[in-house]
Amino acid sequence: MKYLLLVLCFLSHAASATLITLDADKANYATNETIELNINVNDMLPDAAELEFDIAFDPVSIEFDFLDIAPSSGVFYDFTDVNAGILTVNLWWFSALDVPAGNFNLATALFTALSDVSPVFNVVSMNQYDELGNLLQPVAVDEPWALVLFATGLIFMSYRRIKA
Amino acid sequence: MKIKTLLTASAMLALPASADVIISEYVEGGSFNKAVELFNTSSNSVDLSTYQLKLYFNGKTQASVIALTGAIGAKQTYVIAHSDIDPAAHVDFPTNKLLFNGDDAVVLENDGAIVDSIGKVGQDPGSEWGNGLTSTKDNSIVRNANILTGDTNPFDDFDPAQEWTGFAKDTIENLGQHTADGGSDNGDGGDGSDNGGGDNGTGTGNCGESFTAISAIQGTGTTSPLAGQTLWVEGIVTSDLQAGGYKGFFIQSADSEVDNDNNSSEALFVYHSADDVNVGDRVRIQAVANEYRTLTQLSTVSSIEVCQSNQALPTATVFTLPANDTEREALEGMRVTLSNTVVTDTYNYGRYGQFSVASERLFNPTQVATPGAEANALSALNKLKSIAVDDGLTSQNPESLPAPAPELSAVNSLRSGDTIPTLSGILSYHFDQYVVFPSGTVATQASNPRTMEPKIDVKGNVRVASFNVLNYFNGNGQGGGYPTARGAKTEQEFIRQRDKVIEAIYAINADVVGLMEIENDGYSTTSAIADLVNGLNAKHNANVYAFVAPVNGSLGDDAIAVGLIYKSARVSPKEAAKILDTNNSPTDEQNQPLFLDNKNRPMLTQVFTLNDSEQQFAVAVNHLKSKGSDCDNLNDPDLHDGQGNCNITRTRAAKAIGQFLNNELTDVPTLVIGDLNSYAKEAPLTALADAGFVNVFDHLNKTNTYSYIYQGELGHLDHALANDALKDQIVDVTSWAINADEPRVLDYSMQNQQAVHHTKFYAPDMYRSSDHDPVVIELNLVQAMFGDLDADQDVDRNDLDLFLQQITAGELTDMRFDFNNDNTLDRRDVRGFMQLCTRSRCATE
Repeated sequence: MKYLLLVLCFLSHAASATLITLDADKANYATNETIELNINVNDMLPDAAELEFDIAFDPVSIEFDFLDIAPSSGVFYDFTDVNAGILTVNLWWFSALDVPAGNFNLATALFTALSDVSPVFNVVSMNQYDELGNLLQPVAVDEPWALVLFATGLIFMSYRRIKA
Repeated sequence: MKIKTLLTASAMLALPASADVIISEYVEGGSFNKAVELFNTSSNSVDLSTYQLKLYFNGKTQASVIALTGAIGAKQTYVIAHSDIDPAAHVDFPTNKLLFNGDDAVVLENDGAIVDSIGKVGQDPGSEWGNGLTSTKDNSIVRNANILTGDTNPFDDFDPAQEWTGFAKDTIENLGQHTADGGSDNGDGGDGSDNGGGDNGTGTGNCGESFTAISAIQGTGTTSPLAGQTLWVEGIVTSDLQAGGYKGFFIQSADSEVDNDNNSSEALFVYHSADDVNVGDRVRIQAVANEYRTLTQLSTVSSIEVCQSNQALPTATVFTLPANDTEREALEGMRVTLSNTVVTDTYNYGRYGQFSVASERLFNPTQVATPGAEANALSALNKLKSIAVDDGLTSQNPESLPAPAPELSAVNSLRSGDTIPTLSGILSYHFDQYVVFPSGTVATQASNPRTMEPKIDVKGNVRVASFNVLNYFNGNGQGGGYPTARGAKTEQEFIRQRDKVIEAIYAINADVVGLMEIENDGYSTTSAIADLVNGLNAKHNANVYAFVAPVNGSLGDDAIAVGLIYKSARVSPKEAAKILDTNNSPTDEQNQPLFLDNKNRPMLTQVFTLNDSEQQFAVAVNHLKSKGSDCDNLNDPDLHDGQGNCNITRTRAAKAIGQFLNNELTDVPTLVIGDLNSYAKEAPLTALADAGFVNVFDHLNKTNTYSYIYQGELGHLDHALANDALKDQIVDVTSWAINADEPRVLDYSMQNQQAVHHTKFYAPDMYRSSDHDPVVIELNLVQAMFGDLDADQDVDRNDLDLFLQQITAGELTDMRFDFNNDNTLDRRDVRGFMQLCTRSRCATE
């Protein structure tokens, strides 16, 4: 059972979307430690020239610091964490031709742990647009499943700790 | 009256007379050419503090009294003259009280005793005593040499023919020296044998015998060590000015006869015209050495003989500027050669036949240096760099002016900035300055040629000009009303002026012209500004120009005003013109108005709209208080820091201008133009810079420009200043050098001219249409670019950042930015904004 819980927790960290994957540099962080979260993109749509997504995090345990966009040329971007626990990122490539093909590292987000924490990040919204600003095919995000797995893991772990 | 006259006469005659001083010359000429010369017949200096000159006007017996001061040396003269006498006159005691017109008696008293007199006290002769040249009106009369005592009875009949010799009206050359039997103002006289031994010469007149070296007479100081001595001298005539009013010639030692001291000159001026000499003559002269207004000379010539003719002239000495007085004194009277000089001042060329040259063009100190010590140091240096060039004539308004060859004319101008590769002549000292009398033709080069139109290298879409039109007064506007208060004296003069000004403005071809010194006579059909516009439109054969008329119909109460004319097909006034005067001036800490319109002319500001694009700009025209007259009543004197009179008055006005425009025309592209009567480094310009108005010439890196020349020094009195909203929309600026560089004699005026000058010196062209050069400013008003949120004339990534910031902050309300038409300005519109970028991928410059 313990191994099952670990697998569930791992899965909750490792993948939240088919297009965007989030990869923290480690699982656990001490207070004030910097969390480095790599944001990777996997195969944007051929006509896409704009990407917009939100990353959810626990604002009580971690704090957003900065976002470093990897492809600095040919793209105009903006990010904001104006809504607590949501990092909104917009990228406008000047042309669809400027969008890197295949899988690529999009950005690195830096957070600070406010307490000893095992942070959880989820892509909760994502859209792609073409050069004219038209919304392209929505990409399904398996957010509910990830949340269920994460919640289940926590419940089982709590249960085991109380029972012990 | 008769009893009173007798009593006065009795009282005057009862007093003893002194015979030491007499009246030796009397000048009653035109304008303020009034002078009385005294001569000390004695061998001792006479203290004049007890002397009075009394003027009895029109037969009156009550006198206007001029108390004298100073002293008069033995055998010397002392000239009392009106303060505004011809500046060429010798004057020891200037006074504005010396006024007479021929029928007024003049009495010289010493401590109440009658010493001498002219005329008859108590008698009005009608217009004059005497007749012809020898009369007391419109003549100069010189006491005969044999008269050594004065006429101590001012009540007897007076006939000048008995003791006086008459000269033509305005003859002033005799002032300052007098010949009298037994002595002269040049010394004791003597017979030569007194000085015939030793170093001072011989007692015979034979050529080749011993004589006093010229260098010994000159000495190494500023005055001759042998002054007052009668000497035998030999030298070669190097310049003959006997006929031109100087009444003398220069002699210089032959090359083989010079001393080896570079501090002593080898030449002398000989004041003598009775015996003709020629250049190249070797002459032997017996005369008295003396200093005449610090020029070492020989005068009272008692013997002159031409020893040889056609002698080789002494070698000319290279004279290099800058040079101080000591260096110049060492060459006084000598043949010199200057290389590569530039003409710097022609203001009085027509009047006195004199212009100035320098080693380079000279800038007015406060145009380029900080007022105070730095400016004063530059002023001193400028003086060392320049020297006058004289035509060798003392007469005024000479018929012909020799440079540039063959003679000056309206189409053959001598412009400041023209150069003289080689200038050879005699270096001398006359009328209180060092001058060069050229030998032969002065070969000038037109290094600063005229141009037919202002040089604008970068074209924009609006042209603005600032032009001081030199007191454009049109009489009563109906052909009469002359002479005017400040401008043309006659209708003919006005027509000449009008033609020149119209030619200039026509060639400038500006859309808006700010005017200074236009007659302040309103805006009716007979007004000066209406006349000017009518003239321009006639030239264009169309109603091209119109003028701005203030709503209240006036612009202060000075005789002159500023004005604005514009091309109505190109621009349109927007709303009423704004006026800054004392009434609406910003105030200082003591709540006193900064702008005084009884000193400065009220500022006229008009916002214009470009007819084809509706872009706006404002032009504010100014004419601040001049430096010429004082503002002592405002406790604003000349502080001798280079800024002249009334600097505080101008500076306060400049502060008012800055505040007024910033308050009234916030964010409107605004151009301040006009004659600020301040050079670039002076406080008024600093005040305007502090208010955000940049000097357009500086902004466009236009250096060495000027609009005015004063005493040979260049500078900008006329300016173009732009506020922040305009400065980057100005693409070019120039000061069109059609006036400042030109001799004044080429302007419209016919005053002080001979008939031959009226056509020789005048042409109905733009040259010397004023004393100021017009300033021409080329604007390129750019249509506000959609998306250029940082107003830097492009749309780039910086604008994209601003757009994102503004929509994020909800600050943007212009729904033209709702590119996706969802009635919301948000990030979904960024893609649309990108399409506005002026460079690929919104690249920045």
